[in-house]
Amino acid sequence: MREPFGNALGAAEFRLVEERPRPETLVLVVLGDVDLHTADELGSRLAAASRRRIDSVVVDLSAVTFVDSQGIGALLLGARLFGSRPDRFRLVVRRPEIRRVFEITSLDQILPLDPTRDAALARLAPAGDDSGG
Amino acid sequence: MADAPVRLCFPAKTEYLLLARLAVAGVVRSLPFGQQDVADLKLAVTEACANAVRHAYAAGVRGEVELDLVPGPDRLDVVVEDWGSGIPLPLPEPPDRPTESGGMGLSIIRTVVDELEIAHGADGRGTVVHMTKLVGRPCDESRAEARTDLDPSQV
Repeated sequence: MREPFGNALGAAEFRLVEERPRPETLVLVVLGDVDLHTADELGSRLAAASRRRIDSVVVDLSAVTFVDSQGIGALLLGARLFGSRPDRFRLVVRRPEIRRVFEITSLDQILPLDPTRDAALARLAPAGDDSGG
Repeated sequence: MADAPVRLCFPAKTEYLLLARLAVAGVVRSLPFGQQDVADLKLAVTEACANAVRHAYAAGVRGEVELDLVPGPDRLDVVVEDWGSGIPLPLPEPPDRPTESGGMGLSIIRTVVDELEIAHGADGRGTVVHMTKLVGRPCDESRAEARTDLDPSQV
C-alpha cells in the first residue's frame, strides 16, 4: 500500500495513468497528492518517458489534490528531459490551489500551464518537428 | 473560544506527511480561514515536516517528528519539531537562484505564512519551526519572497 491512510481517511490515493492520444505524445494523468512520498515516482515515470519514442508529454494535473516543492521539482526535471521546450512538455493545471504553488514560486513563468488538456495538446509541436520550438 | 491544541507525533517517514495535512484540515474546521489559507497551511506544514523527514535523521536512524497545532481566535500557530542533527543557524537569506527543489521549501513557507521562526530545540538538539497564520490576512500574491527564478535547464 502506497498510502496507509489514503483509503481509510478518504484522501485521494496517488496514481499515474498513461494515455496516448497520438503515437508520439504521452499524456500522463496524475491523481492524488504529490509530495515527498510520491514525487520520486512521478519523476521516474517522466524520466522513463524521455527514454522512449515519445516526442512530447502533457502532464495532466487536473486531478491532483496537493503538490509541494518536491512535486514541482519532479516536474522541472521532466521539463528539462524534454528539452525545456514548451512545445514538447506542458502541464494542465485546473485547480486554483495547485496553480498557486506554481505562482508563488514564479514557476508559472517557466513551466507552460494550460487550463485544459485540449489546450495543451493544441500547443505541442507536430510529430517529427525538431525545430527547437 | 478556540479549541484545544492538537499534538501529533509520527515517525520521520514520508508516508506520514499525509497524516500531517489531515491534522491541519481537521483543526482549521473550527477557524474562520478561507480556502486559500487552508491550502497555504497544508503546504507550509508539509514543507516543514518534509524538511524534518529528509534532513533531521541519518539514514537508518529511527526518529520522530512532532506537529503542534494551536488554534487561537484569530490565528493558527504551528510548531514542527524534530530531535535530529539540527540545521545550521542562523539561516542564510534565501538564495536568489536555488537550483534544486530542496531550496524551495523554506521559501514557500516564508511566502504563505505570516510569521516564521526557526531555532534549535531546548537542549540544543534538533530543529523547531514555528509558523503563524493569521485569519483575515491572506499572504498576498507577492512573488518576491519565494522567487526562485529556476531554469529547468539547471535542474
